[in-house]
Amino acid sequence: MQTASTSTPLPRTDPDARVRRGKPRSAAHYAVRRFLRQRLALVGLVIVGFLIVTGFGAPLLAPTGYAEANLMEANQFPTRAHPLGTDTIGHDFLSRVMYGTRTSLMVGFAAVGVALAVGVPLGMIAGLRGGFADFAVMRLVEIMTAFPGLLFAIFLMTVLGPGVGNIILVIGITSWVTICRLMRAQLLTLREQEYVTAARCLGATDLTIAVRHLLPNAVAPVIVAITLAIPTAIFAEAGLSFLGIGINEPTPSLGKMVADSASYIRVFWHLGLFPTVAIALIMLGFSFVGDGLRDALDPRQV
Amino acid sequence: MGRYIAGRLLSLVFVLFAVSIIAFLLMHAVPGGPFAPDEKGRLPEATRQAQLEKFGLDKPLYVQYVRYVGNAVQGDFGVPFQSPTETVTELILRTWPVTIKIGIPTILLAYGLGTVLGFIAALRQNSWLDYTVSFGATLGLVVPNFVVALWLLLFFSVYLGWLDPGGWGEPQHYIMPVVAYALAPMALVARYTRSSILEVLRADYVRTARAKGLAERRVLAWHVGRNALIPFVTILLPEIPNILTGSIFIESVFRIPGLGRFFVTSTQSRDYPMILALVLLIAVLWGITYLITDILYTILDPRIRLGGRAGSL
Repeated sequence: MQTASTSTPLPRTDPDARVRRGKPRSAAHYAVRRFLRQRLALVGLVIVGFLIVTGFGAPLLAPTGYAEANLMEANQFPTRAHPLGTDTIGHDFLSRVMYGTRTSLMVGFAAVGVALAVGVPLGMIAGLRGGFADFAVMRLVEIMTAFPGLLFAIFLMTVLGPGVGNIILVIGITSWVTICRLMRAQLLTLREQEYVTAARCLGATDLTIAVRHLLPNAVAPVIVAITLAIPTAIFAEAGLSFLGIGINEPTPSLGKMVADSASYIRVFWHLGLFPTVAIALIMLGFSFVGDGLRDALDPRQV
Repeated sequence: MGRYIAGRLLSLVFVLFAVSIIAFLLMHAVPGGPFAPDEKGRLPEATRQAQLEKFGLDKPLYVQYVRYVGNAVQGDFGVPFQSPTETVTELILRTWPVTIKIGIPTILLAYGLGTVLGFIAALRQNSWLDYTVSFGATLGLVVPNFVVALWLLLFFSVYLGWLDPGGWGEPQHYIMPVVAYALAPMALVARYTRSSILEVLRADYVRTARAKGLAERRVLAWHVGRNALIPFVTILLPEIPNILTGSIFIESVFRIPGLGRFFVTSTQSRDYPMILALVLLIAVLWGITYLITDILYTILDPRIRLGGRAGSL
């Protein structure tokens, strides 16, 4: 602030003051600046980074594999050899929690991928084409909203049976609605913007307008929706596995570990504490990042 | 107004028909059935046929549906396959009150405390109090309720030894489930109350009320409070049916014999009568809640009119 005393001092309340003095930057640059200024979002970013390293790095970092059990060492409280203790059949619990985190992240990312693959094209068709396509998509959306999500997921899971692939599919097809709606709403407003009319006057085809002008502008809210959809999907996985209809042994799942701990919780507190802390960290990390992104990318809707 | 309510109730009946038909078709379309032969072939074919006949499952679907509706309007919802010694009605009457007994204190705690916290946070905007409430609300919304439930269990039952870890029947068994269950809706209530009060505080009519010299307390109670209640009604009342039908997670952690687990066990065991009854129960609860929401709307905000014609209220 002191070095810039030669120019007219800008009001201190302007958050982008320092940035604006330099050469003009891209919108993304300002978004990154706004994001980094939020303490909670940074905390979230650190948490998410830590989880990704420990989760996806589990094969390299974890003391043992997720299915390696040593019955002789079962039911140990945290010790130096097993920092988080061992479970009732002698798995090293730290390894289990790390692999469980990996499962959660994998399901979270993949399920949101499925939701995107369904929601974005449907939302685009509805928003760009209008007419019958819009009508059909919106009725489908309404039917999906009317069904209670968890019940529908339970229903589908009992039909398909447990498993990582199935749970990704089920969470994906129960959660595309938000993204589809958002995409459509974005396109509906953007379609009426003046720059679209301008592009059309210059002779741009519908496809060019959609790809070059509409999509880039619709991306920001969708990114926010994605980051907020990840914790929701992870929550769904933990919940379904907790109920025993999600992921089965030997694949570790945090939700399943929480459910299994319930019978021993009076004695082996560590079996309940560590997986729940991991779930809470995952949820908090992604939500903080999502909230931060929303404030950074779309300052209007805080 | 009376006519409007009657019309809405009539349309609720149609919704129930639609919902029951969809649920009926969907559950029969799914592979497997209550007496489907398992891999081990333990159920002899003759017994299977006899069971199917006994429950009328050998008939064509439309016959089954018409029969179901015929019985249902007379109050007979059939016999749950998973507990054949009682009727569906008896099973729901036995387990639902337990869920409601958890649900009502949950609603009171969530909405009472949530409103107060949101109000305080809004009036002291940007103070440490506001930040604490907002941060707590984020935590409450984000951390799953079974995680909170387990933490309460670990702290109050295992570490301190103050409360039973689960069970049902004594007043102390309410404490942990209600707190764990109320946290998320409370966070939602606090958040919405805060933002809607902040919005109303900046409205012109509040400035007018202050300018004409009304006491601050009266401004808050009459002008701010009442208008801030409108989003409260639309967004937060629909949470109530969710709470009243119970949480499978909470009931499972604290071993509460409520209705919640039947949502899972009924789909798993293809308990057709029970699935239909639960789906209809939820549909009725939603229908009534939306109706009440719309009526409350007009009471809180005279600018909104129901049923189209002006003055029809």
